[in-house]
Amino acid sequence: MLIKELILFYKRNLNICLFVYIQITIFMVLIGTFYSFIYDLDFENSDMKKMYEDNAIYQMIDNYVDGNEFNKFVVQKDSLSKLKNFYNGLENAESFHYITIANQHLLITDQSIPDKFAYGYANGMEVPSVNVDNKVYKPIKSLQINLNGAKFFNLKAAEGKVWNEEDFVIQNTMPIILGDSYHDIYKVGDKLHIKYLEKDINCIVIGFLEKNSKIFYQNNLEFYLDDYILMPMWNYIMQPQSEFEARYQMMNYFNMINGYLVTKNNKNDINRMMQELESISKDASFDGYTFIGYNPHVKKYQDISVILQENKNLIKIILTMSCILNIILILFISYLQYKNERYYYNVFLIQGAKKSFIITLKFLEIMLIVLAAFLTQLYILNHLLKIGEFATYIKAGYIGVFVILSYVIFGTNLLLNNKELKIDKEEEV
Amino acid sequence: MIKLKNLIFISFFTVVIIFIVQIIFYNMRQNDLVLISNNFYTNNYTVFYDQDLEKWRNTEIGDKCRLFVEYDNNTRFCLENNEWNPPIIKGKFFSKGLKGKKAVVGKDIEKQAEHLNGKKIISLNNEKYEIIGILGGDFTSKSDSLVLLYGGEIPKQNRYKIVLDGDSKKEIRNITKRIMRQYPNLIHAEPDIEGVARVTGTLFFQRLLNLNGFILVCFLIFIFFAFWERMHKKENYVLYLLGVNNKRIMLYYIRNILANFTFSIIVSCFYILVVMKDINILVQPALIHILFGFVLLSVVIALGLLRGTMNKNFA
Repeated sequence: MLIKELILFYKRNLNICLFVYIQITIFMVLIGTFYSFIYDLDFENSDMKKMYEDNAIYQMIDNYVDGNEFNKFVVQKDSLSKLKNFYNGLENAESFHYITIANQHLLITDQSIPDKFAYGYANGMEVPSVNVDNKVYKPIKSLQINLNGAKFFNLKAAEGKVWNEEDFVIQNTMPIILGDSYHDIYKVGDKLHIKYLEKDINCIVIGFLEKNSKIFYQNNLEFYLDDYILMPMWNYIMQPQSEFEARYQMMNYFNMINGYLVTKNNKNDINRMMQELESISKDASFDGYTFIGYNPHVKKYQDISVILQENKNLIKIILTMSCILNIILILFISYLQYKNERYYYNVFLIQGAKKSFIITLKFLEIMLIVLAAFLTQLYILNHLLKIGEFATYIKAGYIGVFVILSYVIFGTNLLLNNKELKIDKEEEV
Repeated sequence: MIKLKNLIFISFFTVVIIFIVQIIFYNMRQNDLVLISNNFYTNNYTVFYDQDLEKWRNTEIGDKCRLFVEYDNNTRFCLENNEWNPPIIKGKFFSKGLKGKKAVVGKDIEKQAEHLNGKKIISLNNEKYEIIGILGGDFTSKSDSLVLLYGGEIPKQNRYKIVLDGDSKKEIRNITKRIMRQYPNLIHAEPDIEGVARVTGTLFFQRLLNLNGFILVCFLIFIFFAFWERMHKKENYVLYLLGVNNKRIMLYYIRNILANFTFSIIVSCFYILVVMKDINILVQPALIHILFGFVLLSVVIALGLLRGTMNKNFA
C-alpha cells in the first residue's frame, strides 16, 4: 500500500517534486564543487606553505657574466672538472636543498607545433625558422630542472609519470615531461628528436604535468609550466670525448651552478648551509659564485595566501545563506504539501493507519527525490564536470540528510497536530 | 500594527534581498581579487606588439574595453579606459575627458612620491604626473608596485606592447579579429593569466554560484507566493462573496505585496549600511536592475497564482 500511495503522491504532485529535485540537485552540485574547491584551495595553500613558509631561499649565480672573465675561466685545463665537482657538491649537500632551473630553448623539426609554444612568443618575438644542416627547426620553450627541484616543487603527472632518480642518469633516450597544453599534440610514449645546445638528443615523452602546474622561477611564484617541455638536468659523469662535447658539457654546467639554496629559516640551519657551501667550494676549487637574492618568495607567498583566504571566506558566507534558504524553501514546500495532502492523510488516519505509517510515507516521499538528486549530482560531478572525489560527493549528500529531516519533522508535526482531526494521544507509534 | 503575515513576508524577503546583495557583493569582490592578483588585468586580456603607436590612439575598441601601452612590468600608459572602475583605495581612476598628466599608483609607489604644491607627484622620463588615486585592496599584493599613467608622452620604444583588456571575452575576441584583419602584419600573443582565477579555478565556481542563486531565488519567489496566496485564500474569497470586483481584489493584493516589499527593501538597505558598511553596493546599477526585476517577477508570479485560484474557485 505504501508503494501505491507513493506513486499516487508523485502523480498528484509531479510539478512540485520536479521543482524540489532540480533545486536539490543544483545545490548538491554546488556543495560538491565547493568542497572540491576548498580542498584544492587548502591543498594549494598547504603545498605552498610546505614549500615557502619557514624556508630561507638564497639565489646564487656564477661570477662569469662578463665575457672576458668567462673566457679566462673556460680556457683553464680543469675548468670543466671544477664545475662538475662544484655542482655535485651542491646536489649532494646535506644541510640544504639545491634547486637549479634553466630556461634554455630547444629546437624541434615539427613545424606544426602552434606558435604559442615557440620560444619568445609571449614577448612578441617573431618565431624564426632555424636552419641547421639543411633541416628546418622551430625553437620551442623548455625548462631544464634538477631532481631536487622536481621534488621541491612537487611536480605531479596527470598522465604518465614524473622523473625518478634513474631518469637523471645519462641514457640513450632522454625522458621528458610535457606541460598540460601539449595534450592534443603528443601522447605518452611518443619519441621526439630535438637539438639542445647544438646537440642532437633523442627524447621520449614519459608524462604530462597536471594543468596549471607551477614553480617559483624568475621571481615569479606563478611560473606556469603548461606550455613548456621539461628536461632533466643530466649529470655528465664521463669525460668529454671531443671539443664539441666539452663545450656542450661546459654550457650545461654553467646553467647548473646557477640556482637556489633552500634551508630552514633559522640561524643555525643558515649557518650550517653557509659552512657546507664554503667547504664544497674549497673541495671543488671553485669560488666563482655570488648570492644575489634572499627570500625573494616571501612577500609573493604571503600575498597569494591572503588572497586565497579572502576568496574562501567570501564563498562560505554565500553558501551558508544558500543552505538556510534551501531549508526555508523545503519548509514552505512541506507546508504546501500539508495543505494539499492533509485530506488524504486524514482518510488514512480515520481508516486506522498508525503514526508510523504517516511518518514513513512522508520520509519516503522526500527520500526518493533526494536520492535521485544525489545520484544525479554524483553523475554530474564525476562524469560531466570531473571534479572532486568520492568523499566530496558524500559530503554533498549531507545536504540531502538535512532536507529529509526538515521535510519529515516539519511535515509530520503539522499533520499529527492537525486540529481538524483529533488523534488519540495514547496511540502508539 | 504590522500583522504576523506581513511580518513573515517582510522577514523572508529581507533575507532574500540580503542574499541577492551578498551574491552581487561576492561577484564584485571576486572580480576585484582577480584584477589585483593578475596585475590589474582581467582574464580576458590580450597583447599586441607594434612599432607604430599612432594607429592605436584612433582604434575603435567599444565602450567596455580599455587599451594600455606597457612601458615595463610595473608601468603602463592608459590610452583608453571607457569608464573602467578598478578597485581603488583612495581617490579616483582616470575619467573620460580628463586633462593633464595624471597617475594612479599602488600603495608602495605612493610612499615614494614627491610632494609639490600640496600634490603627490611621480616622475617618468622627466615628466611629472599628479597622483589622483591609489590602487589595490586592503591587503598587500604585487599590484602595490603598479603605476598607471595618463596624458603624458609615451617614451619611444622599438616596439610597443599594447594590451587590450575588457570585461567580456567575446568582445575582446571580436575586436582582436577585426584588428588582425585590418593589420595582418601585427604580432598578436595570448598572455599567461596569473592570479587567483588560475591558481584556484574560481571562475567556474563563480558561475555555478550565480546559477544556483538565480534558480534558488526564482524557486523561492514561486513557492513563497504559492504559500502567500494560500494564506490569503479565505480573505480573498470573502471579498469575492461580498461582491468586490476581481480587479479590485487583485489591486488590493498587489498593494499589500508592494508595501511589504518596500519595508523589506528599507530593512535590507539598513543592513547594508550598518552591518556590511558598504554604501557603494547601493548605487551599483546591477543591484538596482536586479531588484527591479526581482520585484517585477514577484508581482507577476503573485498575480498569476491569484488569477489561477480565482479562475478555479471564484467562478
